[in-house]
Amino acid sequence: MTKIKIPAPLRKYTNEESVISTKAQNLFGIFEYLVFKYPQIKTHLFNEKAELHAFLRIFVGDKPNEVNGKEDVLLEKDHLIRIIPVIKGG
Amino acid sequence: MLQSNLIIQPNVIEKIKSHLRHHYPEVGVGFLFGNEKNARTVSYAYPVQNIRKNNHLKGYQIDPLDYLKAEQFAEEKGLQILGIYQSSVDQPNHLSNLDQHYALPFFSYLKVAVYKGEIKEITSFRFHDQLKRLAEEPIFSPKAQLNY
Repeated sequence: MTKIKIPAPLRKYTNEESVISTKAQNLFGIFEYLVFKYPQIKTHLFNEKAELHAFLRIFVGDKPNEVNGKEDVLLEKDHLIRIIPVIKGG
Repeated sequence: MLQSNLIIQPNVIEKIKSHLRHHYPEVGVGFLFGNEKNARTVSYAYPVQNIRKNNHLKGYQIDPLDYLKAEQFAEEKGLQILGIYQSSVDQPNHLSNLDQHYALPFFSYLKVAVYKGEIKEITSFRFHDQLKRLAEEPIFSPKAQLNY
């Protein structure tokens, strides 16, 4: 099983679940599963062009994904995907 | 449109004020932790590095790795990350386009206006699901806590 860690700001859309497990073996498969199971999260992950929002970063384990979710990535068993919000303002 | 209250424990607001006073004239930033069991209550805060390179533009950015550490800290302590705090340096606590563009749901954005090293105003904003933008949320705090 691969797992995806939901950041605190988006947990209200996953019934407060912080870690979601799925059999998906690729990054896009994880996204699809997440949106299928929690439809309300869709607009908070993707823009109208179906691209990941600019204020989110994808980490595979503790390392940033180089293309930040723009291309699919095959995952190893027990990989943990993290969605990290970009915190910026002022 | 006002939202529900943000409660900040007195020792936390003093810690935030002290950090931002000492950080002046740079923009200081940090995380807010607490829970929402009865009401949204901030019980802990700690500062993080502002990695925005053009700091003269009075903005802030937090390293994603610092966010990861904050999540781990929250889990260890049985808390939630409730938002962030930042100083508005020599300017009032208005919302910028950058604030609105990067606004996250759920988070409280606590702004503290610091003029010449002195705290003048404390304001909080939260993303409003219906309005689709940040809107002010009242801060509930005994007067003494917000006495600048």
